[in-house]
Amino acid sequence: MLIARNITRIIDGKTIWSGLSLKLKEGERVALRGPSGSGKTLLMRALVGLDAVDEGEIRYLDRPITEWHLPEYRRHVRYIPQDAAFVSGSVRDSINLFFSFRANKDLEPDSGQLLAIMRTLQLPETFLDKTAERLSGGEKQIVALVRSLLLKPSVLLLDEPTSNLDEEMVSRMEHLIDLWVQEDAARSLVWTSHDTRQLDRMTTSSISLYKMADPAVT
Amino acid sequence: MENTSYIVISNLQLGLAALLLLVNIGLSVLLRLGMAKDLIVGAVRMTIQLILVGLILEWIFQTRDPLMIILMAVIMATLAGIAAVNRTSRRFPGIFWNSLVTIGASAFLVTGAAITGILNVSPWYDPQYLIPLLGMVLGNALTGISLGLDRMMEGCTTNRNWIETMLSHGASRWEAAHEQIREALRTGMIPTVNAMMIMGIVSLPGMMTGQILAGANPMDAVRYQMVIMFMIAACTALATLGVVLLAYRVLFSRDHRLMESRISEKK
Repeated sequence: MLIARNITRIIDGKTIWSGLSLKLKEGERVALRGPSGSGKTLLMRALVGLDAVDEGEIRYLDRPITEWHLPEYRRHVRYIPQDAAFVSGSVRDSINLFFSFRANKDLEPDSGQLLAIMRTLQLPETFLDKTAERLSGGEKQIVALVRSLLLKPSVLLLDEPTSNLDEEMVSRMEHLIDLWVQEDAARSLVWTSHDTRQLDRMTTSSISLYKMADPAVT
Repeated sequence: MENTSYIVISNLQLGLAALLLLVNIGLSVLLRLGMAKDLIVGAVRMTIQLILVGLILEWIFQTRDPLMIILMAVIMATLAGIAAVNRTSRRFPGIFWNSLVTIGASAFLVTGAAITGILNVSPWYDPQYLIPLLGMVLGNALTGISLGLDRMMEGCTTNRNWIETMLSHGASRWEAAHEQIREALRTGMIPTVNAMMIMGIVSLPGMMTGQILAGANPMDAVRYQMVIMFMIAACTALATLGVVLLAYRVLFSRDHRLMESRISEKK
């Protein structure tokens, strides 16, 4: 369903990755592995259309990304950046804001689903009234994930989604994501993490990126 | 000069006024405050610039040639457009054009409307009205543009993560940019709004004071001051909105991406 063919990304004359191909089938969980600087984040940004690729093609549901109206495309393929920021108002406000986007107008905030998620994470309902200034880095990650799940994606691109959380919360988040994937056979995800054991737990296949050798200095 | 209702300042009197500054320079040297150089450079620059402007204005007022007056107006607008961008701390491609187009369009629109539609100046290009009104409108629009542009670029840089999180969840470029646009407009309008708030209470506005010194009836001067403030507010709002929207079109691509790489630090 989500396919990349021979894609290449060059920044300031430096090749980040080239000739890269991948296929993400329905229900699949793919780990994106590679050392820092190998372009994992850039690949996710390309997959969600935040950056254009220099060569090759990305297709979703048999349509090239360049032919999609991107907000509509991102209605299906959602990406949670590292440090997905959270700027002002309460957690609830920020969730409602995302439902107000035109591309999401067919979606309604599902309070039952939200309550179930809060239960899985063992968070009190008052968490939803916390304001941006009072949230820790880890809590912001929780908000970002919860918000994305409520917005019913088909493909979720997770960039270090639990890097700021303590062990206990990491396992609750993993459980939450597990439940989400199992709920519908069509859902799939791509995950990056420095924690390779987490990737082993949470994913079923993997793509490895290597740092392109710097041009030889002679 | 005959028939003037104000005291014409002679060279001797000018010199006496300059002496006022000399006292401060003396104090600065005596106490080693290091202000003397800046004060002297500033005073000399001001003197030369104002004499030059005075000569040009006197010449233009004498020729009364509409082409020359328009040329002067265009030069003023161009300088204001460039100065507005020079005050910002970041750049994007086309920023100078954006500034020139918006400051030119908004200042000529507002000044033109005021001169022909409100004040009914005849002929419309009478430099006695056109040049000072345009000058004041430009000076304020310049501040609005530079503050608005600065805030817009700053907002898109520091809130990049937040903007891209919204974009990644289906926000259109307009939905993702809206908060930054609103903040940029607000920032650009702050000096104008503040000026109106305190006008007449904390300080007497410069143009009104000038007219009173020149012998105008205070109530007449007040009316002029109100007209110019309405013009300034309208033009600053128009110019700030225009330039922020043009910046938005550069910083957010048509396919709903944030083009943060287009913003560069000023060299």
